[in-house]
Amino acid sequence: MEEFDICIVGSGAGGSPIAYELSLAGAKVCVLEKGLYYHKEDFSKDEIAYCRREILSPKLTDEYHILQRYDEQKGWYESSTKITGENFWNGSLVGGSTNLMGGYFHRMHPKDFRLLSEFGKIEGANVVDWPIGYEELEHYYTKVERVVGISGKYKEHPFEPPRSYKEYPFPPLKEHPISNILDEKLKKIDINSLILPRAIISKDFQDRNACYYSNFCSSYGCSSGAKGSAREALLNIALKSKNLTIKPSCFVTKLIKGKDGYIKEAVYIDKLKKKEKKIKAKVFVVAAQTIESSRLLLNSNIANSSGEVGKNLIFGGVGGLAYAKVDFDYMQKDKLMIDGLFINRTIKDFYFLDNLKLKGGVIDILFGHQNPIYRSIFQMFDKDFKPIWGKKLQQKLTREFLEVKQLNFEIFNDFLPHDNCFVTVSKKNRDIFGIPVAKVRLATHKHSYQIALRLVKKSVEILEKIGLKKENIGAKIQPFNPPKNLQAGGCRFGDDPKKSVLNRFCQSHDHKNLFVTDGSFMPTGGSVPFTWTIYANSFRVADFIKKEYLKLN
Amino acid sequence: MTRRVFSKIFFILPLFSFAMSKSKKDDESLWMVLEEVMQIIFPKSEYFDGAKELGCIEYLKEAIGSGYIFDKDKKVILNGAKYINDKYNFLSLDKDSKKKVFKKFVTSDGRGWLVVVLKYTLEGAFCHPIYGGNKKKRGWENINFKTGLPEPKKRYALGRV
Repeated sequence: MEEFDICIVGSGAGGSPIAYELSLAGAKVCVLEKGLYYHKEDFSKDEIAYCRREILSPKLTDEYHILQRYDEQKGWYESSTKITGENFWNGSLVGGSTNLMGGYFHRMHPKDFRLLSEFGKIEGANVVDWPIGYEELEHYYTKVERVVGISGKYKEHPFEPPRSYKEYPFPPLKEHPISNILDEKLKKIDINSLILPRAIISKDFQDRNACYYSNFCSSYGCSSGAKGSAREALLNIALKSKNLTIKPSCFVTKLIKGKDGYIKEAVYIDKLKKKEKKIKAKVFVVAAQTIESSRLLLNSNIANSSGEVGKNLIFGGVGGLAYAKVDFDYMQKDKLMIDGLFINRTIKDFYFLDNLKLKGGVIDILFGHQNPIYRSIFQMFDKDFKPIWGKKLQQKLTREFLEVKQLNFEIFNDFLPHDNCFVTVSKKNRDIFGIPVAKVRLATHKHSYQIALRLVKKSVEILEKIGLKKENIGAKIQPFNPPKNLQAGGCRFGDDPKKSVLNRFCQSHDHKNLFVTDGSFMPTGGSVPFTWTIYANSFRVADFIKKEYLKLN
Repeated sequence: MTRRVFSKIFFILPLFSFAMSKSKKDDESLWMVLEEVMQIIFPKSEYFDGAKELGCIEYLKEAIGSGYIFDKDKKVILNGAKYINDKYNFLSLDKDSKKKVFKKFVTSDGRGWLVVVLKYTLEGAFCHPIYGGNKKKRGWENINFKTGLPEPKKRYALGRV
């Protein structure tokens, strides 16, 4: 049996900082990744492959989820994604979902770390304070800026988290001409537009080339290495240490504990060779993305003396969106139709509401996704959601592609943890390997929905005030479809072993050599996308493992 | 991981291997129904090449043959085509009657079928030409779409495990 110092399950934002730090410090590290190993040369902007057939996630006939949602008539009902085709996977490849992210990066606010003490109890929500504060993470947020590479420009704002260094290591990415127009118009109505930090490098760095503005960023692998995926930014560097072994196509099915309570072995299936294998290590790190991490712990029957594994699953907001179709009355045609450049603006004025008594959220400003099939499919229904065809359809396509560009206001607000959003494992449904699949109950707390609604309304009001035509403005919220690509919770960290799965260093209360470092540890998620926080926290845990646990320098 | 088992399967799998069809002739007629239907959905017009010109039916054959489209979609598409042809003798109708019958069907029982066929017609119109549709990138030209780079060199050049 192969033996390593550290065995990491999953190679995304949670696992890779550990692999990077520990292998550079001299530990022998093995990363087991369920997906394949792609390199930047492998990627293209093939909508059919990546977005329609989603080849970077498992085949749903082989591996799937059971989803539970609520319906007034049916009550809680289950659907198998094997049958519905609803893909609840994210990037299954070396580097994980970070390969496919848009890289809209925000730090959490210091008050986000103590949501309960700052804003009080909310009925039906399991809000708690984090065991650590912003101060303990600030250094690591900065580290991510430099190691993973974040571009941006700091502008003072009352709700911006404090920064130890004002300037970002990379200047902002090139901007679309609409950014200036929006800045001016927002200023006139007393709204501050801030430059949105991106995990995309604007200058060449190490072996990575600067962004080449392909116009197809989110949902696609990056062909220049500019996107700060865990693979490009961390694993590629860590491999140079010769201490890191990455095993792609290896699906970890079980962790086995010894009599002393320490985790001894990981059992995995080599999906290409279709063989079951085992691996030994001194330390095990689980970072398979929230839902899968809970599934692994539950299927292994470990780390759950608190009974909390899988509970309090949270997502990155409620899918609040306000949008406007910008036409040539608003902006000159040749300028509006420039492709590839980013808007890169965010509004933080509503991060706190009602004289700081209530938590709000951020509004990120970006263009709608440019995928032609995706955009055309949105045109195939009329206002009453009846399918249309022929010339009627073609007229709508002409408008969508030749006469307008969609401006999105994407809203992120706290998805509050509560008793009806969690992960368990199915008793009867198994994947093609015979492993019980994850069953996920999806529901949004009404407070989260109300805040999202308030911010959506605010966004619509702003869009109108900055001169976009009322008939071109729309909005939506998706309380039953929270953004699956931003998952957290399920293995909360905390100081009380009875109420949390992990301690403040993301170490299992039950098994001292087991750590969970993806988004699972987060008791609450702030009103921002999580990825920067997951990266930063994983660097923090890496320091702990290195210094306190393995006594490495 | 460059070439995947997928490409092998692709060439081995006969394109018309769905269970419900009794003979090759039946299969051919279903594809003909679908081609006509796609042309009604996406006709040749002042600003657009039609589904026939763009190769939407070739795209659909490729998609179904690839094994990558959802079984449910495949069944819906083919069953609907068979239904409309059996019930209305669709292929024997003139152009206007086809349109009428199509409208009658999709505004009643065939609504779900239309949604699926629409989706694949649009995929065929705007996919990368390596998949058989969007011939000579005319679909993209029609909507003034510039593809992102790099373009794919092979169908599903990567693949799943």
